[in-house]
Order: sequence, then structure tokens, then C-alpha cells
Amino acid sequence: MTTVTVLLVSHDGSRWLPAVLAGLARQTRPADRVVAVDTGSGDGSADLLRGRLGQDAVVLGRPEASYADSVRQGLATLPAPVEDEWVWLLHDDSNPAPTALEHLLEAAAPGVAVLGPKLREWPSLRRLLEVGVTISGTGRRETGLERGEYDQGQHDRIRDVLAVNTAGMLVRRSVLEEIGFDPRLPVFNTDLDFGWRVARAGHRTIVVPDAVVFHAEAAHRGIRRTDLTGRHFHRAERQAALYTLLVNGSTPGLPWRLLRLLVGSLLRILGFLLVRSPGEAYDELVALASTYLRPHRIISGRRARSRTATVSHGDVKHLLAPTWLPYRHGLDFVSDVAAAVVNQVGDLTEARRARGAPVVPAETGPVDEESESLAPDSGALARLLTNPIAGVFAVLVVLAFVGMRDHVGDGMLSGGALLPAPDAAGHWWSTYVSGRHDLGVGSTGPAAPYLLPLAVAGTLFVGKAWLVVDLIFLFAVPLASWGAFRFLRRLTGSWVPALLGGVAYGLVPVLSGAVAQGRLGTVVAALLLPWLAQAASFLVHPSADRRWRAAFRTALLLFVVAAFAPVAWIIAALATVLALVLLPEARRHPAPVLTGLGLGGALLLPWLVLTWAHHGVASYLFEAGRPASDLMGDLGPFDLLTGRPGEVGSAPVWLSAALVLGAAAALARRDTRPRVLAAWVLALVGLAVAVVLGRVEVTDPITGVVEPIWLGLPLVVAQGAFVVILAVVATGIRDTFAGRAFGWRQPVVAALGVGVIASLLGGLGWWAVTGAGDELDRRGVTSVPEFMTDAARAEPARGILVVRGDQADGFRHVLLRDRGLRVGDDSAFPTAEEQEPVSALVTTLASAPTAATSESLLDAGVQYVYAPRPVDPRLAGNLDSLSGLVPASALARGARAWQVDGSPVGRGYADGRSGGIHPWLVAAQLLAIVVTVVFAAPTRRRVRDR
Amino acid sequence: MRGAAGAGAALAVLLAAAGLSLLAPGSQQPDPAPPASGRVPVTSAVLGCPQLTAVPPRLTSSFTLGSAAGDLGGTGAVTGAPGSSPARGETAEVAADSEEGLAVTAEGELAQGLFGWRADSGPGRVAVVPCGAPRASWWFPGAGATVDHTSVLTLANLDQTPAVVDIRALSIDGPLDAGAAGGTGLTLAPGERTELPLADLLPSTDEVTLQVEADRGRVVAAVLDTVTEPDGVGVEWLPSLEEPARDLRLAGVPGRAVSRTLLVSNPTERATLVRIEIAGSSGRLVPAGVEEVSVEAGSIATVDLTDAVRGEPYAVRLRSQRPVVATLRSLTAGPEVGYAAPVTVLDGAGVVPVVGATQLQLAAGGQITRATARAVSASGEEVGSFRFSLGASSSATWRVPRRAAYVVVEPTQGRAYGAAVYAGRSGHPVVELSVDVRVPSVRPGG
Repeated sequence: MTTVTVLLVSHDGSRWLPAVLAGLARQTRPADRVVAVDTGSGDGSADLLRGRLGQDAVVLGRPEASYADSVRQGLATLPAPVEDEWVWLLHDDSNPAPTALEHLLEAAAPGVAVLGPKLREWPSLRRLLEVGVTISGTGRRETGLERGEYDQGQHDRIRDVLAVNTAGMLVRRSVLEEIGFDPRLPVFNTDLDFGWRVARAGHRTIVVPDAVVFHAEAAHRGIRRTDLTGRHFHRAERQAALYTLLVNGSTPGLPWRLLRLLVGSLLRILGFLLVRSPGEAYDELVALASTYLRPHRIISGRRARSRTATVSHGDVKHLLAPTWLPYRHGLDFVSDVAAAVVNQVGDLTEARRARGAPVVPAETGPVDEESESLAPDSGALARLLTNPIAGVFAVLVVLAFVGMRDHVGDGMLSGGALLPAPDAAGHWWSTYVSGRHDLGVGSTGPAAPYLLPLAVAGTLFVGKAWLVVDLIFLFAVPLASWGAFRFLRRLTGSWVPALLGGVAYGLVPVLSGAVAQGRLGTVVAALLLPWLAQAASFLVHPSADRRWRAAFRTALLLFVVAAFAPVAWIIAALATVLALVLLPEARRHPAPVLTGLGLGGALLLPWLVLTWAHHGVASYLFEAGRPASDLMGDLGPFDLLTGRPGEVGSAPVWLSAALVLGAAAALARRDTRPRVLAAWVLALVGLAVAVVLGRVEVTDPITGVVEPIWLGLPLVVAQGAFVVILAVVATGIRDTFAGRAFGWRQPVVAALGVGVIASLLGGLGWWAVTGAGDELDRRGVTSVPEFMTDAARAEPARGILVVRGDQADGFRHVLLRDRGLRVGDDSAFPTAEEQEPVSALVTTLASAPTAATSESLLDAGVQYVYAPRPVDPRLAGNLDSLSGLVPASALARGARAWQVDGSPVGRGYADGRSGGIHPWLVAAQLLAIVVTVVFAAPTRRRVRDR
Repeated sequence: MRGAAGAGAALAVLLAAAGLSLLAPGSQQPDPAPPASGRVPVTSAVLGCPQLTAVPPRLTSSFTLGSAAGDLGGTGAVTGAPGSSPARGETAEVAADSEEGLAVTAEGELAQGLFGWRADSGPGRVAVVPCGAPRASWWFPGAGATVDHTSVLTLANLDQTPAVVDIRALSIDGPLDAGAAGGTGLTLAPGERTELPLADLLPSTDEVTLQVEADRGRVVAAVLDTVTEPDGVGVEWLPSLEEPARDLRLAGVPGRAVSRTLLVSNPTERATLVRIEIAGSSGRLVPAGVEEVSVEAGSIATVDLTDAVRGEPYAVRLRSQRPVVATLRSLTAGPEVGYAAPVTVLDGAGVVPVVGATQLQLAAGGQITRATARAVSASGEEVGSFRFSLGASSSATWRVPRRAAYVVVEPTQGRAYGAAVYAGRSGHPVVELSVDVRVPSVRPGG
């Protein structure tokens, strides 16, 4: 005679209990006895139970009691066990189907100690939750089901499993009492651990799919927060997983399991940080620490388990999840992410469709940023034809292609201040990370921080570094326009001024000559400034969350901009001070503003410190790229106002005159004056910085020559401010005048408007005609013959000394250890002081070399001397007459080359100086950047909360 | 009120912008190359003295070499003269009887101030040519490739590496093609010497300016010029320049001459105007009617200066828009031909050989100039001296004692340049002694 006692444990379950009790009452094989344990519910569950089951059937437990305690408490109220007595465990959220118990009992065979039903989701009823569970090597609960899999009978087969959920578990009372639940597992993994131990005790656990229990799975989804799960259900879950694995696993495998779980947990922590879930990362960390730092729990747990075990670990192994399963999940995750990205795009398209007719809506609610910035979707071609925004950007892209007509073909884009891009982005990584560089006489100088964003971008482009440089220079206008358009539209809420302003700003890098002169720093900074401005505009947002996220975003963008043009930080600091003084809303919440500025600078710290020590403070004033000061020319008042920092490759001043006049006239409009004044103050900051920098005398640490400073960035800032002013003042200007009587104002405004638009068109035309200028060109990396560069590449000690210039104007030299200097190498190049031995050698070669000179060349690691055309005759004569040097083939007409007899004796240039603290500083910086990225990312939507 | 405050702020902003823009930094050019970091003493020197297989008839030829006196040290050695190594101040004479030219090398302190020359002298006539240091570029104005006026180019490679030489020529009608006859890509093995009669190299041309450029290596070049007149043959070595210049000074124009022809060559690709000035004993003089001459691109212009100044030696100064090469040919009775050599203003001590009756002619630049000339004998003793005190743009001459072997000229004030005139006909510039080398500015940079 089989006896079944239902043991129902409830905690705040009044929401589900009526249905559960009804389900219990409907059983085709009624239970012989029902005992309910209520663990101090606050929602009247206990009364509800008493009403239905009677006063005696309900036991009151403590709220903090674990599931194991509750079950034990319930069992204690039962009369003495009889033969073939079963206990059916139910939760307050598990509603059994009418035939559940009947089917379970039918399947009960000798040797089977635990039977479990098929768990389906409640209330959707058809989705499968569990048909038996097991645990993977990483502690993950494995159901063997797809997420949200529908029950179509596909799993309806009675089979042996490691464990079944306690919700609906039918267990022999003797086994339950003998083995019991582990009180150290309050909620999670109680069943898994129990099942595992049951299996070790030599009993079978089977799942009976014909028996169905609907389960709300409340605790796991976090809908319910009990005192047991606390707020940190994730922590509890992980703690339980680690504990279960460590106490139940085999002893020989324990060290490996300890290590694996440690590494796995650390990786998970990193992963949670990357998706900006610091809370979960913290939970993971606490779970790890609380498990690993309390080894006595593991030891006593293992001891307890060995007491009940009768079969070996090997005999239950087949019930555990296969070892490859975690990797399969990893693959699934990657494909999930890809699918999510695709879905995101789909969502955006839907969002566009939903928005329908109005091209740009007014700023209303918290619309998703990306969906907002896109035009309505109606097919690419139709959009192009009907949507002016898409049309304008299409024209800009076409013009960019027109402008690059002279720059197609082989070779790397270089010239002016721009060095050729490296062959692969890996060069940027290694230069950035390495503490010493095989450049010239060998350098321990820090590589400039702009290599980091370049390396990241290059990696994204599958290592094609040249593509990054090409895109930056050849598509500077559309890229800069796009950022400016987005920013201005947000600022003005009106798309026409934003679009015109976007184009006007996009032209700044070209008209200023920054593109034509190969000014990587200015061009990249110009591309990023609108995004920086947009991020900074949220620093005064009413929502604290957005303010702080904006702070991290601002810091990150400021770091990147300042990495390319360090002067940006000075301008930002001045702007911050002025904003705190002049803007009440900035004063109200100064912390995010100061964080943005301070963290932006702090991310640069390793470079700032190392450069101070190595190259001197003057390096902070030079932008990315070579000084190329010969391209700068004279700088007059109009050049400053119209943003023309250089003579070569810049557009005529009058092309931007209307912009300046318009910005000045904009001050006359009263309703926009506060914003216009703010932008003017920013413009003044830019101009003031330009004036100051234009007047300081700075020695370039690499060349040792006093070089004028390229004023690209401050002037781009000023131009950007002018564009903002015009966009702001143009917004709604028609309405402003609509109500007024016709007077002198209307014609003046119209004339200025026509002037601004004419200069925009003029600028576009000028850009289309001149393209990227003459200075910038696709060239070979170096004119040095390949056989020399190959030799130097194979053995850096076989360097190539390249000497340019003549007796009258002086000589310049560069010692190559590879094919030539690439973007970024210039920043890590040894200082003039460090190169003094080479300078002395060249001086000797150019004046009065002696027989010992060729020995000195070998000592300095020089195998070849190369002089590009035109060669100074005296230098050539000296080298020709020098014994120990033989003429080598220079290939290029008019160039000369010599080979030094013998092989360079050791690498005299690499005297074993180590990189020192550099790698540590870089590691700290990378970590700080990752953290900043995490905090700058949008808050993750919690799937479980939905 | 708010409106007024806003307007005030607007005005302030505009004024600030205007003020800032007026503070524009102006010139953004990098600093010019820093001045040379100094000079270093010469520690080794090589001179090549030209040789011809066919020595002009009735002339005896010899090489003289030495290391000029002064406050320079005397260690090291001058080698080249068989059997003798002159000490500081002394000269050694070697007969030019071998087929090879003479290579003079000096090491140590004696390399400072090393000089040498070749003299071909006979009754009443003399031709002197300095021994030159190997270099890559040589210009020879005044050559010819006709029956009556012919020149022979001699080239020597003193280095241990081969030299590859291109020869180019300009004529009155423009550039000439010397490549067809083997004038380009001429290779001289280490130590090799070669002779090239211009008549073989060029089409028949009376006035030729010759350019010798070593594409690889360095050479020593010299050109012997022969002018045949109805009453005899005149022989002279052509003066040489390293590079064309926009400002040229020709010194050593003899006082008496049958004809004087100024030859100005313009090797550039654009025509140029050349202004002519004469520095005589009484100061600056502009020759009437020929103050200025226009020289076409790649061609030679001739100016007859026979009647410009008569009876006194003088110097000519040429100022041109573009770099030019020039000399002045004087034909004297005998017949004898002489060339005024382009000379450089002396920065330090200069030296000039004494061969027979020698007159030292020194001219001043645009300011008062003083210089001392000391005549030194072959044994190194001073045998006479003269103090030049010259007004701006004037010149003076000194008849050097015959016992002297050479004259050292030391400028003490102003800008002095000059030449020696031998037998009243042929000239030799005062060559600045190579004592030290200018060290160019050198800096890192691509």
C-alpha cells in the first residue's frame, strides 16, 4: 500500500497558492496527506493554507529557514514512516496537472528513489522549463532544453537523470530522511545536490514526462525576493553552483575543478564588467570569495557526502552534463549577440517606419538615440531621392570620391605631416605596448597615446592600417559632417540648420588645410569634436544617471581627442572653468563636469608622465604627426578668424568670411543670445589658445629645432563654435521675422544667409576641385632601395643612415631599422639628444671623414648610407673617397648610396635599456579605459526584470 | 536691462575676437638652419697636379708643392715629391717628366695649408695651374674646339673607388651634345688618368664652357687651352670653378693686351642679365656701353672689354640674376693668351705661386680693405712683404721679389681678393689655403 504525503512549502505565495491548492484537489490519485510549511509569509499565505487544509496541516517556519530546514520541519510533523511511503514536494508556485501524481506513482519502480514531473511554464503553460536537470562543469544548471522550447511531446520519455526539481519531486520518504537536503544550499541547487547525492547513494532518479507540473519558477527569475535569496539572487545562485560542484565532484579532480572555476569566475566577472553590469560582477566576485575563502565548508560537505555514498564517482558521471557543453553555450552566446545586432537593426528600421512622415521629430521622450538619428526607411533609392539628409550625405560621399581621384593606386597615403601607415595594425599595438623601440639609436620613449585608438580602429578593419588613415583623410568631410549634423540637430531640434551646419563644419578640416597637410591630429580631432560636444552637453542633464554616463563618455572622447591633439585638454580645461563660472546649470552639478575633464586627462597619464621624463613637456603642444612647419607660412588676423592655420593647401580666406560675419551678426538676435554668447566664449577660448601657442617658442624634442606649433585644433574649435552659432541663430529665424514689419533687418539677414550658403557651395566646389591637395600623395613607404630595407628588417643592426640636405642649409638624418618611419613612429623616436652620436657621425661625413669613420658607422649599427636626390656634392665626394665604404646601387635617379664594408659589430644602439615601468603603466591605462567604457555604455536592460 | 547687458556682452565678445585676431603670431616659419657649429682642422689632404702626354713645345714643366707657413703646426708629412718631403713653409719641386700626373697627399698638421701648382715656362711665357683637390664638379669657361683654338681636358681619379664622369658643354648657340662622342658615363678606375681633346668630343665650336660632373666618385680636372695666331701659338691652363655663382669676381687681368674678351656662360634654363663692374687702381668703373649683358639660357655671351681700361691690371665683378660661369681672355703680343680666373674673397690666408716675373694684384670689395703679402722662398724664409691698403672697390699690384717661391696673403680688414699675373700676361688666383673645414649644421629629421 503506497502512501503519499504532499509537502508544500510556501513563502509569500498567495498569488499562486489558490491555483496550487485547486490543482492538488483535482488530482486523479489524491494525496493521502497534505502538510504545508509556511516560512513567515507576510501576504496571508498561512491563513490561506489554514483555511484550505485545516489548522493542523500548516506548520509555521522561520522566514530565514532554508528549503532544507522547511522540509525537515514538515517531515517532523509526520507520523512514523510506513513502508513504501512517498513524499511529494510542491512549491507554492507549482501547480500540478490532475494526473501528475498518478503518472508519477505509476513509474515508481524498485530502485527508483526520486521521480520528477515535466515542468512547464506558468502561466503560458506550453513552454518547457525542465524535464530533469543536471549540472555542467562550470556550475551551470543544464536542462537540455532550448530557451523557451515548446512542449510538443519531444521529450516524453522516462529516463534516468541526475536530479529533478524539488517542485513536484516525488521522493521515497526513507531516502529523503536519510539523505536530506543540504542546509547550506538555501534555495538554489538544492535539487541538484540532492539528486547527485541520491545517485551516489546508489538510487535512481527518473523523470516522468507524463506527469506535468506548471511552475512559476518565481525565485529563479527574481520576481520574488525572499530573505533567503536576498537582493543578490545572482550571488546566491553562483555560490550554490560553486559549492555544489566542489562538494560533489571527485577528489582527484578537485584541484583542476578549483582552478577551472576560479578562472571561469574571473572571466565571468570581466564579461559582466564589459556589459556594464558591475552589480553582477560584484556578486560573482563575492560568491567566488565566500566559497573559496571558507574551505572548511567544502571539507565538511565532502565528508558528509562520502558517508552516504555507496557507488563511485564514475558510476554517476554519465548523469552529468557532457564536458563540451559549456563551449557549446559559448558558441550560442556569440551567435546570440550576432542575432541581437541584426535584431537591433531590424528594430531601428521598424522605429523609422513607425515614425513615418515627419522627417525629424521634435525632441520628445527618451527615444532610442540610434533610431532617432536615422531617416524614415523607404528603400535606399527612394530615400536618397526623397530625403534631403540622405541626399546631402550622398553628395558629400560622391564629392569625397571625386576629391580622392589623384590618390588612388599603390602606396601609402603620406606627405606633409603624415607618415605612411604601417603594413598592419599590429605595428601600432606593438609600438604602443612596447617599452622600447628599434628606432634610430633605439628609444625607450613612450609612443603617443593616439596609437591606441588607431590600433583599435585598425584591428576593427581586419588589421588594414592604411584603410584607417585613408578613411580619415579622404572621407573627413562626410564623417565630420555626420557628427556635426547629429550634434546640431539635437542642439537646435531642427534639421535644416543642422544639415547646413553639418556641411559647414565638415568642410573645416579641408578648408583649413589640415587634410592637405596630412595633419592627422587635427583631422581626427575635428571628426570627434561634435561627438565630444554632444557627450558634454549631457553633463548638465536633469537625470543623474545620464549625467554620470555623460561624464564617462566625455572623458573617453576627450581622451581620444587629446591623444591626437593634446592641446584639446587645455582648451577643455579652460572651457570647463568658464562653464563653471558662467553657467548656473553646470555649477549645480559640478561633479560630472569635473569628472569628465579630470578622467579624460587621467587616461592620458602614462604618456604624460613618461613623456615628461623622456621628451620633455614641450611634446604636449605638438599634435600627432611630424611638425612639417615648412608648410605653415605666415599667420595673419584673418587666417585666425577663418581657421587657416597653415598656408599650404588651405582655401582662400574669403571662402569662410561669411561664416565669421554671420557669427558676429548672430549676436544681434536676442532670444538666442545666451547660447550664441556661450558659443562665442568657446570660440574666444580657441582663438586665445591659438594666439598664445603661436607665440611660444618650443623646441621639438625629436629634431632639436625650435618649431612653430601647428594651431589646427584651437582654430577648428573656433570654427566649430561659429558653425554652432549660425545653426542656433538660423533655427526659427523665419518665424521670428514673419510677425514683424518689413525693415532693414530682413534684407541684411537674407544677404548674410545667402552669403553663408554661397560660401558653403564655394567651399564644396573648392574641395571637389583641389581634393586632398598636392602635399598628400600615395607614395612608397621610402625611397630607400628594397635590398637595404630587407637587410635592415632581417637584422636591425644593419641600419640605413638616410642623409638629406646640403652644406649651406644643413643636413638632416634619420637612421632606419626597417622600411621607414610609419604613423606613430615619430612619437617614439629617440630625442635629438639621444641621437647626438649619429648627428656627430653625419657631421664628420659631411665635413672631414677619416678612416676611422667607417668603423664608427659599423659601431652605430649602420650598414648603408643613403642620400636621396639632390645629393650634396661634398658629402658624396667624402663618402666616395672614404675607405671602408663602397658605392651601392641607389636605384632612384640622382640618389646615392654606399655600403659600409663589414658587418655592424653588435647592436651598439641597443644597449640593453629595458622598458621599465612602461608596460605596467600601459596595462593600468588599458584597464582604466575599459572601466570607463563600461561606465560610459548605456545601462543594460535587465532581461530578467522584463 | 537684460537686453542691455546682453548687448554689452555681445560687444565685448566681438571686441575680444578682434583683439585676439590682431595678435596673430605672424610668421610661422621654422628657424633657419642654425649656424655651422664651427670648423674643424684639416687632418688629411689630397691634391692632384695635372699632366699631359704632349707637353707644349719649348716649355719646361714642373710641379711645386708645399705647406704654407703661418702659425700652423709642422707634424705629419707631405708625400708626392719623389725623394723629398717638404717641412712647414718649404716647397719642393718635381720635374713633370713622367707620363703620370702627381698626386700629393698630406697627413697630420702639414695637411693644413697644403698647396701645389704646375708651371710650364719657357722664354718669355709662362702657364701656371694650381693642383686641385678631387671634387665632383668642375666648370671651365674659355675652352675651344676648332683648329685655331683647341683645348685638352685631363682627368684623374685619385680615390680608391671608381669615378663615373659626365661631360657637358655650352656654346654661344646653346648646349652641345658631348654624349655622342663618349662624354657621358666616362668611367675612371681608381688611380686612372685620361686625356680628352675637345675637338674629338665636340663639333667644331670656337667658344665652349665645359662642365665636368662626377656622378660617382671625385676627379681632378684641368684644361689646357691652345690659341693659334698667325705669328705663333699661345698656351694657357683654363681657370676653373666648382659651381656657377650669381656674384663672380675675375682677378688677374693683365695691364697690356691686344684684346680682352669677357665670356659669360649661363648654364641655367632661363636667360639672365649680368651687370659688369671693373675694379681698377682708382676704384669702381662701369665699362661704357657694356654695363649689362644678357645671356641666353644654356649659352655663352662674349663682351669685348679691350677698350674698357688700358694700361693697368684690373679685376672684374659680375652680378647676375642667375648663377653663371665667366672668365676674361686676354691676348697679348707674342702671341700669348691669358685668362682671368674667378676668385673668391679671402676668409683667411691665401697663397699664390711665384713663377718668374710675378705681380700680385689685390682688389677690395665694397669697403676699405687691408692685407699683408709675404713672399716666401723655397726654403721657407720670408724674402719680402707688402701691405695693401685699398679703397673700396679698388685694386693695387705688388711686384714680388724674384727669389720668392710663393706669396702668402693675409687679409686683416675688409674683403680682399686677387690673383698673380705672370710675365704680364697670364694669371693665377690667390687661392685660399685650406686650413680647416666648415662643419655644417646637422640635426635629426626625415
